[in-house]
Parts: sequence; C-alpha cells; structure tokens
Amino acid sequence: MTNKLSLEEELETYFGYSTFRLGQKEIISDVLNGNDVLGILPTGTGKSICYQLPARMLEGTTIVVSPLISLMMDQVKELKAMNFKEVIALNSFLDYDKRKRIFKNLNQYKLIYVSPEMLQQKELQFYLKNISISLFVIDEAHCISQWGHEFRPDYQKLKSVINELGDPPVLALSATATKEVQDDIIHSLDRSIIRHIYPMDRSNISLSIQEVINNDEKLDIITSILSVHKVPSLIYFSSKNAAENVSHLLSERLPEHRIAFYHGGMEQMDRVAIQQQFMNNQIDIICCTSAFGMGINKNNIRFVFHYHFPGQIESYIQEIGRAGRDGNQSISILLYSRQDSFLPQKMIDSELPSDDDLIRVKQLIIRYQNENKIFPVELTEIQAMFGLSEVQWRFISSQLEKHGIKVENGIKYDESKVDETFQQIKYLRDERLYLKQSKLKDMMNWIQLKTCLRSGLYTNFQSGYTSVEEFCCSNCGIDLREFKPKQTTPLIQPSTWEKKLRRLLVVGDFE
Amino acid sequence: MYVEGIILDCLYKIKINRSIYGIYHLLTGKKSIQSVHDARIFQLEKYYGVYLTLTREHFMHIIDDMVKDGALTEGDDELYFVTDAGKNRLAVFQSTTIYKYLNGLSFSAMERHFRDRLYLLVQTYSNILVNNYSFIPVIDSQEITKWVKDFYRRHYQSNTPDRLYLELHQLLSSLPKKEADIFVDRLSGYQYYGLSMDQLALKYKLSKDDITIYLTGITHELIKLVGQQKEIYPILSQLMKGFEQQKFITNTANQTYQLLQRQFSLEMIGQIRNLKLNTIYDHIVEIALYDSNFQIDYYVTKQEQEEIIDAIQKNNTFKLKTIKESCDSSISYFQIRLVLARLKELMPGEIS
Repeated sequence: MTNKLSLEEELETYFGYSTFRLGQKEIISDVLNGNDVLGILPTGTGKSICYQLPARMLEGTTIVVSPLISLMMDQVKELKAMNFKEVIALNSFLDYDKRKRIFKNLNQYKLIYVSPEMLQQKELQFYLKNISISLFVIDEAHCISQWGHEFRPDYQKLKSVINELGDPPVLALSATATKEVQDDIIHSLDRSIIRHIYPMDRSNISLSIQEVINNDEKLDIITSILSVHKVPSLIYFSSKNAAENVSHLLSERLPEHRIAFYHGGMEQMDRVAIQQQFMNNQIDIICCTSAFGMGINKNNIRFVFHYHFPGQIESYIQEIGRAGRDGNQSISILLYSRQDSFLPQKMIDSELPSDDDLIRVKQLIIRYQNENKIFPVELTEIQAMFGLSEVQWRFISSQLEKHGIKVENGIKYDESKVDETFQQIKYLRDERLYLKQSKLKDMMNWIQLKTCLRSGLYTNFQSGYTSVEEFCCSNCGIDLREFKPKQTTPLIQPSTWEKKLRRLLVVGDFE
Repeated sequence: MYVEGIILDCLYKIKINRSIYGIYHLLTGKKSIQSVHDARIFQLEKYYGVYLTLTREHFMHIIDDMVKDGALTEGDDELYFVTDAGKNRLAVFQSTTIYKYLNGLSFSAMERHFRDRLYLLVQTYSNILVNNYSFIPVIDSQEITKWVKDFYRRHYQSNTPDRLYLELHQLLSSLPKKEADIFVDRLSGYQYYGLSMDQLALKYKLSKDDITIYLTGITHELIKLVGQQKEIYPILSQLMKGFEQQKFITNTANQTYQLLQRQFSLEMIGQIRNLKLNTIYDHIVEIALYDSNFQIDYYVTKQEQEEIIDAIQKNNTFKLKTIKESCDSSISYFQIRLVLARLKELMPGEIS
C-alpha cells in the first residue's frame, strides 16, 4: 500500500499528474522491480512516462534508443522545460570536441537519448560501460522486426549492445505492434520478457471513410464540415506542397478559421512557432505531413482528416490516435479517391533502391576499390554521389556492412563476394518491397471494407475491441449532425503593435 | 518586389563584369574575398549577405521569372540585361524604406544574432514576468541560450521587462507603423507564439522572399539606430555585443596581417606559415579592403596604379583578364586586385 501511494506521489512531484493512465503504473512497477518488460500502449497514452519516471527515481542512468533525432530533441526540450535538466540527446550533429566532453561526463546524466546508429560506435560503448546503467529502453521497438512497418536494421544489433553494457533491465515500448511483431521483438532480444499489452482501439474516435471523385471534392467536404465546427483539427497530406497549397485554399474559403501548415522542410523556429500556436489555441487547423504530431500533447483535437491516406494501417492508427486524448468524442475522416492509390506506391519506390540503383552502387564501389579512392565522409555527399535518398542509402549501407564491406575510410572487401552480396541485397530488397506492398494492400482493403471499419482496423493487432453504439464508423452509420463538440473561442488579439508589445512585457496587460 | 529590386540593382551596376553567380554569392554573403571585393567595387555593399537562405535554384527561378515579365533580357553566356521596364521596377524598389535600410556589409553577420537574441530575450522576460520558468524556447541554439542566461544573471531585477519594453517601444516608434507591426508580430512570449515566416507573408500579402528581405531590412535599421544611441538603449545595445569588431577579415588573413606588422616580407610570411605566395597575396588584398590605412604603394607604385586605372577606364571594365591584357606585362594580377580594392579612393566618383 505504501508503495502504491509513493509511486503516484512521485508522478505528481516530477510531472504534475495526479493519476496514471492505463498501463503506465503496471509497466513502471515491473521496471522498478528490475524486470524486462515489453509494453504496447496505444498512441497518446503517455508511453514516455513509462521510462521518464523510472529515470528520475532510479539510481544511475537510463538509456533510451529512439529512431528519430527530431523526436529525441523534442523530448529533451520538453523535459528541460519541466525542470528535468540531467537529460541529453546524443546525435552525430555534435562536433568532435563537444562530443568528447559529453562522453567523458556521461555519468552526470539521468536520461540519455541515443540513436541506434550512434550506439554502434565503439567509442560511445566504451564510455557507457564506465557508468552505471539502471535501465535500457527501446522506444518504437517495432523497428526491431522485419515485419514491422518501420524496420531499422541497427535495431537488430541492440541485443549485443545490451550484452556489452552488462545486461541492464530492458524496457521495449511500441504503440503499434502486431502479435507477430511482438514475438519478433522478444525473439530478437532473446530475454524472458513480461508482456504488458493494452488494446489500441480508441472507442472515442469514430472512423469515417468517404470516397470522392477528385481533390476538389475533398476540399469541399473539409470546408463544409469545418465551417460548422470550429475545433482543433489536423489534415494529413503525403506531400509538403499539397499541405501548403490546401492550407492556402482553406484559408481563403474559411476566413474565420485560423489555419497553418507544417512540414519537415520548414525552419526550426517556424516549426516550433506553429506547433506551439496550436498548443496555445492560437490556430485551429494544421495542414501537415506525417512529420507533425510526434511529441504533440494537445488533448482536444476533434477531427483528423486524411487528404491522402498513408501506406500502412500502423501509420493510420498512429495519426488518428492524436485525436481525442481527453477521451471526448472525436472523428477521423479519410478522403479517398481512386487516383490516390499511386501515392503510397510512389513513396514505397522512393524508400528502397531500384535494380538500377543497385547496379550503379556496385559499379562505383568496384571502381573506387580498383582506383584506391576514398568515399566522402559526409553522409549527404555519399548519397548525392550514388544518387540515392537517405532511406535508400541507409538500407544499402547497413546490408553492405552486414556482409563485411566497409565503405568509410577506404573500401575493403573480398572481391569474390561482391556479386553474391549484391544478389543478397536484391533478395532482401524484394522481400521488403513485397512486405510494404502487402501493407499497402491491407490498407486499401480496409478502405474498401463494407462491414464495420472498427472491427476490421484492429484485427491484426488484438483479439477484440470495445464496441461502440453511436459514432462507430461510416459503415455502421454516423450522423455528423449529432456531433456537437465544444467550439474553440478564439483569443482576442491586441490590435496595435504597441498593445501587442505591452501584452508580452507588461504585467497584467492581456486586454 | 524587394528581392527582384535587389537583383535588378546588382545587374544594373555590375553589367557584364561578373557572371550571374557573382550576384548570388553576394546576396548569400559568401565569405570569399571576391564577394566582398565585388560588393565594394560595384557599390553593392548594402546587399552583401541580405538573403543567406536563398538557394541557387530559387535564385535562378527569380531571374527566369523576371525574363518572362520583361524586366530582364537574356543574352548569350548567361548574361542578363535590365530593360526599361526593369529600370522602372528598380526605381520603385529604390523609393522604399527597405532599400534605404539595407546595410549588409556592415550588419549581415550580426543580424541573425541580434534578432535571435532579441526573440529569446523577449520570450524569456515575458515568461519570467508571470513567474513562469518553463517554456518551449523559440530559438533552439545553445549559443543564444547561453547568451540569454548570462544576460539574465546580470539583469534579474524585476523591472527589467519593463525597461526592455520601454526601449523596444522607443526604438520601434521610429519605424513606420507597418514595419513595427511586422516586427512585433514575430515576437513570442508567455503562452503566445509569434507568427512563422509563412504566416507573416500571408498576413501582409508579401511573397516569402520579400518578407525575408523586409525583416532583414528592418533589423539592419534597428541595429543602426541602437548603435547610434547606445546610451538610450542600455539593454538593446547589448544584443550587438561581440560583433562591434565585425570586420571582413578571415582568421588566416589576420595571422598574415600580424606577421606583416612585424615587418616580415611576403615570401618570409609564406615560409613561416607554410603557405603558397599566391595565398599570401589573397590575404594582402583582403587586408587592403579591410584596413583603409594600409598602404598599397609598396606593392604597386603610383605609376603602376595609374597605368591600371587607365586600363580600367579605357576598357570600361573591372574584368581582371581584360585589364591585365591592356597593361604592361610586368603588372601582375595581384597588383590589379590591389588597385581594384582601393578604387574608390583612387577614382572617386567615377564608378557607375
């Protein structure tokens, strides 16, 4: 009993929440008892608390492996804002001197975020071995699995890293992992792991799919819905340009709404500005790419539109999961036109190397070996040289490395093995391609479903789901006229620059 | 309109003396002696580094659009000429306040820091004012964060936000209303985040290029005003600290300069520094540009200077090769470049 009390008190002290959300407490208790845990928690239920609280409570250091640098940076920023200062994100952007300094003082951090690639560095491993590691966290653990939607080869090397670091307790977390992927994670880590699996269906989010003729009709539908409802909303796009364009068009059609766009191509300061304006109720609608949303903790998003649908159900579940975190009724609307199906296909093609790409890389490698030339150090230069995207190059280079071909600091390889290696890479590429295509197919099949969308969406992830009476899905029937969310009242902005400046810097002057 | 005006002005003044990319390097503030040099001899100092984020691709896109609009005509070899319509557009641009404000060669290196420090300073004091000590900072740079922290340590007094307000109010009152509006709309504070560049562009009906130049121009003007009256801006003048010494000299040229002042010959300096003589020549030209007291007569006699100036006038060009061909073969490129560096003093009022 005392233990129970103190855990909640700790939560209150460090994070200001008075109660745990579903699953958090069970996972944290097991972690604090030194068990290995696999936690599957639906998006938006506070996965990160599951290691951030233990990190504050445990002696020693917690290490978090996370696949996205931007995500790590956001988390560090947020934690620092909450006065948790002993946190750091290690990434390759740090210059040499600074990195060295940080490496030598790793023990002063309670929480260290690190990318899986960086963790492979022998130098970092050396310094990590010298500090006391109390918990090893694998965020987005589905990246371990070849069957996951975001397979990252470096995740498969985590098992040996964990061994190197003296086998600290492991916490693997994910929001979207099918049973197959869960087994794969446990198998890959080769540990006896306690599973905490929580259902990912969100009964307060109704699922609607509307087939349209073309993009104009999508715009009409969005306009007509949002003209009735002034509520925080997201509209997802598959390209930066489309997000920008529709944002402008919608602003013209809905002059009373406050609309902005967000994508990864924007300057850092502008990205923070848009995210925080949304948090602060300065804007209502964001037209965005999948870059938006991670680390966003807005709990009253009422609509999530998909102007373009994502290439896999996992991404879709993640994106609609940003709606209704306060538990109130929210609606996701996927707008689908027949022409859209080529978009995810195009994305898949850009993520994996084509046959031509492979031949080109092979020839260049052979030539560089023969001429004894050295590849550029900068990642971007290597990519440009091969004419590949970052994802494509990451795929090839990790495979080369696996087959003993090192590209950095001059190429070294056994010539007789090159053909075979590239043959292997091609097989693997085909396998990935097949997987991605079958995921796309799953997504498209779900879109075409004639029966309950809710039942269809979660079948691969869990055995059942909470059934919903009203507002279930467009196939069961939703009446949007019955949807009466609380409307946002726009903040009144001061009219002149003098008044705006006063609001910022003169106390009690908020008008 | 602003970015087009700037490019038209550059093309008009440079004529065919440089390739179109010389202008690109100028606008993006390329830290090469050539770009600084160009800014000086063509009297385009105000545009140096005014659009740091401009990509080459977008730059060419703007040029192509102006060709389509009839403001430019395209000749052979990527040479462009300003048409009468282009001259009219240029005149419109030259009548704006932004044109008058721009002062890139003096302020471009300081500008970004000035603005970033101010953004974070205002956001910080706005939050401190209501005792809120945790917020997501708009500026995500350790250097700027450290500067603001240091500043706060020295200015923890409770009246600091008020003083900051008064200084900003005083300063912005010297601008036309629209400019002050735009500048303040970008500021963030307690539970309020300023507009992004795209939002500003939309709100004030400017292109994204123009809002960039617009903010740059305003900032240059603010830096100038604060610099002129540091005594009435005790807080804001600190935003400029660390940049008062801004001179266009690279570290390596400065090392050469130090040795030169100890009376070493250029050859000796080359040996000491293990650098080629031509590199040392580059440094000397850079020093000549940066230090107006530096005497070039030692490297190029008065007589040689006259010969070079004659060649420039006769051929009406700043092209090094043409000048060289028109002079006695004993005159070197190094000497021509030194004369070009000092052209304004040697040929006052004659550069068009």
